[in-house]
Amino acid sequence: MTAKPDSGGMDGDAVLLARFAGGDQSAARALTDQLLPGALRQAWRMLGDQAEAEDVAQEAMLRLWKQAADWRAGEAKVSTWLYRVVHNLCIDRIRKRRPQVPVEDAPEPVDPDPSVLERMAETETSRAIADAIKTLPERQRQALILRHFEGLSNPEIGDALECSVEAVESLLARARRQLARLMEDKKEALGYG
Amino acid sequence: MDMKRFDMDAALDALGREVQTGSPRPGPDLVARVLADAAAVAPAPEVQLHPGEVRSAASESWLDRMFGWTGGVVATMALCFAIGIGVGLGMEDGDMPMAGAAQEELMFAESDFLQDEIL
Repeated sequence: MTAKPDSGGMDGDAVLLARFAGGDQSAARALTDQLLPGALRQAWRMLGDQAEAEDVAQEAMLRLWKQAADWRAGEAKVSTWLYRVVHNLCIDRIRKRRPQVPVEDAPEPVDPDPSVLERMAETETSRAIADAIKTLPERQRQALILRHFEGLSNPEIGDALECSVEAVESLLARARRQLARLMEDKKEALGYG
Repeated sequence: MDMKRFDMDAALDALGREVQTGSPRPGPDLVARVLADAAAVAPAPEVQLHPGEVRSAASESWLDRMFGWTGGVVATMALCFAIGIGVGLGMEDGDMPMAGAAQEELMFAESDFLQDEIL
């Protein structure tokens, strides 16, 4: 997770967004440096295609610029708001990839593109973990990824997934238990005792 | 074989680092597109005008609203013409003695010129 500028306890991104809304273009540059890498990474992880991921990241940032004047500081962190926007845009694109299924009948995509994780895993252990993560229910997988890959705190994950901190803790605990079960059979082959 | 102890959190963090390292970074083209969007959406910065500038801007706006600059020129010429006609109609003979003398001189000059041509 990227470091936020010091803003006296306030969401540093929200401060930058307020400056942008006041006409400060340098704030747009700072916000882009701060938020665009994470948005692109998230979109790429979900879509598995760089060009599409770039389009989604650009669209999400455009929505942020348009939202700037009406942003209500303190209601949500800018980074978690952006996470939700990227997530929804990716889901829309995944649904459009399956035109034969009417949108209203299409189930929530369970597994956008978890194969990306396997592609990025460098060690046998990481590949085994990535393979196990694929089998988790989507909400558990999202919570786990936000916690361990994006470095978000539990309250931030709650904002991103629109659920309580207790629900996040429950999602993470169930995800870890499920992973531990799945890894149990593989530990010996991977050289663990 | 020396067996290591499996630590789930450590394994997840390691995978997270690998994914972070291997993920694409925004290139200059994408950054430029995003900043262009920001510039297109951005509100204009507030500009402080001096009182004189405000008055000037207000009067320009009024003229522009009435005619635009070409309309203003035509209207001004028409106004001057109408004033000229009005002044001319209101004048009596002898109101402009200098103008009468100039007319006589012009008539003599024309007759001299004609005589030279004929002779």
